[in-house]
Amino acid sequence: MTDALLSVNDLKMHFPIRKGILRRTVGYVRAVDGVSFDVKAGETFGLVGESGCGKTTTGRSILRLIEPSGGQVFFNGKNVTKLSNVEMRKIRSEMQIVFQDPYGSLNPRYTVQQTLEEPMIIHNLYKSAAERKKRAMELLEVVGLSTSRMNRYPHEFSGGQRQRIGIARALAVNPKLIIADEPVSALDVSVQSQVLNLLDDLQKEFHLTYVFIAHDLSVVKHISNRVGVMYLGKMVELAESDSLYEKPLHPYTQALLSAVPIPNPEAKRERIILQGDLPSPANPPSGCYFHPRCQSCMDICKTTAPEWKEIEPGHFAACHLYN
Amino acid sequence: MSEVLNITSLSVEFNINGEYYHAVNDVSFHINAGETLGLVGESGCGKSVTSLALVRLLAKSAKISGKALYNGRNLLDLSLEEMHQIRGKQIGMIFQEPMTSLNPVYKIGSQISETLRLHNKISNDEAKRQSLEMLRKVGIARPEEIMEEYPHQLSGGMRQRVMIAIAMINNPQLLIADEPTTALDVTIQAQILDLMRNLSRDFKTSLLLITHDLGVVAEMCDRVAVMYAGQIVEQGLVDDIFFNTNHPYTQGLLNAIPKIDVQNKDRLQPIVGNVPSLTRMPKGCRFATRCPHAMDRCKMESPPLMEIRENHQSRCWLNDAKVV
Repeated sequence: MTDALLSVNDLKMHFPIRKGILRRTVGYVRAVDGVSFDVKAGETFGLVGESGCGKTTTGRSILRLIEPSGGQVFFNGKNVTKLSNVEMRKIRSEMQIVFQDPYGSLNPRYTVQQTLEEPMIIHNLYKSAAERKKRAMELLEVVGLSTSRMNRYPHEFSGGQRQRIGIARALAVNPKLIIADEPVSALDVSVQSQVLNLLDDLQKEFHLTYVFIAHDLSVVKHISNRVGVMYLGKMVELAESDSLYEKPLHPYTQALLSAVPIPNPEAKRERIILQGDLPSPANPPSGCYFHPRCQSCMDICKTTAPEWKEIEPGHFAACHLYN
Repeated sequence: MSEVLNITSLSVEFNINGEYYHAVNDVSFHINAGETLGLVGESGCGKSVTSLALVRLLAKSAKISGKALYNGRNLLDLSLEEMHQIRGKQIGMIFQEPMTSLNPVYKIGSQISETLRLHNKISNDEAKRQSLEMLRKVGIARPEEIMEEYPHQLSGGMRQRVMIAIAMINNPQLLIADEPTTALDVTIQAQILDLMRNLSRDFKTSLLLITHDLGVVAEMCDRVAVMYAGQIVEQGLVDDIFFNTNHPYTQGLLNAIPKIDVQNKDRLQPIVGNVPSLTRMPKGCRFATRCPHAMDRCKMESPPLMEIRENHQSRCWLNDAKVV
C-alpha cells in the first residue's frame, strides 16, 4: 500500500523465559506473534483486546521502546527495525507515544515547562531558551491548559490535566504519528470525554495519525476509523470501525462486543458468555488460539491455525468458519 | 416489601490538616429485600466511603453520624463484637481489587472455610465440603485443586470468583459489592455479573452495587442513587434515571459516554471542569460550577433532595421553579 504511513509486517515480540542458575532460556512468552497491519496517513487505527493480548507490546515495539524479535515496521517507507540508534532517535521525533498512566508517566521533579521542553532539547528543535518557552506556552494553550501554570509540578494537576500535559509533550516535536496507549482508561467518564474531544481536535488541526490502543470497545468505536482486534498476541479481525461493530465476523469479536454493558436498561440482546480465562501466551493452545473458548469450534480449529484472509473488501479475519 | 437496609442522614467527616471535611454528606437511601441498588458516581464522590462507613470499616479518625438500620438495628451503635457477627455472616462484601483483598499466604480453601468456621459451629470436614460446593456454584473448574492453591496462582477473574464465594458462603442477606468488575476484562466482567445476578436471585440476596459504569448499572440494578461530591444528587428507578433523567449531572454523565450501540461519530459532550476538592466545596449547589443550567440561586443556596415523582428524587433547583 502506498498511502500507508505506518506499515507493520509480521511483527513478533517473544520474551524469553529464563530458569536456573545459568539463566538458560526454557521457552518464550509469545506476547506478539505475527501481527500485520497498515495505518493510513491521517486516520485513527484502533487496537483492542483484553489484558495480556499484546496490544501494548505491539505499540511499544513499533517505536522500538522494546526491541521486536521479528518482523518489520515501515514508517514513511523506511524500515524502522533496521535503523541504527542514532537514526532511530531522529525518527522518533515523528513518532510519539502517550502513556496510560498520567501519574507515572510524568517526572514528578520536573515542572510542566521542563517536561515540555525536554523533547525539544533532545531533538535540538529550537536555538534559544526563549523560543522553547514560547513553544511550550503554545502547546499548553493547544491542549487547553492555562499558561500561568507552566511552573507547576505534576502533583498539582488532576488526572485529566496530567493527561493533557502528556499529550502536549508528545506534540512538542511535531510528530506525524502518535501511539496512544490507553490514554483515557485511568480517567473518570466526564473527564474522559474531554480528552477524547481534545485528541479529535488535535488530529484535525495538526493532521495527526493515531494508533489508539484501548480495551474499552465503546471508546475505540467512537474514535477509530479502522479497528484491529487482538487475541493472545495475534490479530484475529481487522475492519472499518462501522462494519466491525455492526457485523463482527470472528467469534471472539462477537463475544467481546456482546459482553460490553450498554447504558440502556431496555437494551435487549443475546449475550455470548465466554467460558474460562485467557490461556497463557507462554503455552498457547494448538491450532486456532481461541478454539478452547470458541462456541463455533470445529475439528480443524484444534489442529490448524487459521489463515489471515480478506473476507469482505477491507474486512479481514483469521477464522476457519470463513473458508 | 421489607427493607433490609435503611440509611438516614449518613455523614462522614475526615480530618485534613486539623479541620474536618465532609466526604459523605447527609446521604439517605434504603434497599428492599432481594433488590439491587446501584450507587453511581465518579472517583472521590464518596460512594466507597459510604459503604465502608456502614459496615464500620473506616479508621477511627473518621467522624460518622446518622443512622444505618440493618433489619431495624443501627449498625453504627453496635459493639465491635456484635459487628463481627454481622460482617461476613449477614452482610457480605466484595471489593474492587481481587488481587489485594485475598490473603497471599493462605490457601484458597482455608480462606473460604475461615469465614464458615468463624460464624458456624461445624467440623473441618464439613467446612471443606461446603467450601467446595460454593466454589462449584461460582463456576470454578477443578475446585478440589483450587482449594489447595494460593491467590497468586489464580487469574483476576478466578480471584474475584473466590471473593464472591467467600462473601456468599454464609448466605448473607445483604451483599455490598464495591466496583466488583472494574479490574476485569469485559468478557470476564460479563461472566462475573451473570454470576452475581444468578446468585442474588437464587439466594434472594439484596445487593448494594457500587460502580462508575453506567452500563453495569443499566444491566444489574432495580434502583439507582447517583452521587456527586459526597451527596446523592438523584435517586430513582433505573428506567427513570435513564429515560426521565432529571439532574444535570446525571444527564452530563449519560451524554459523556461513547455509546457502542449508536451509529454516531459526533463530538462527545463532556462535563466541563473538574470535581471540586473536599476542602474547597462551593457554597451553594456543589455541581453549580460545572452545570450548564446554573442560576444565581444555585451559587448561593444548596438545593435539598426534592421528590419529583413517586420514587424519584433530585437535588436541583430547576425542579423548584417548576413547582412554584
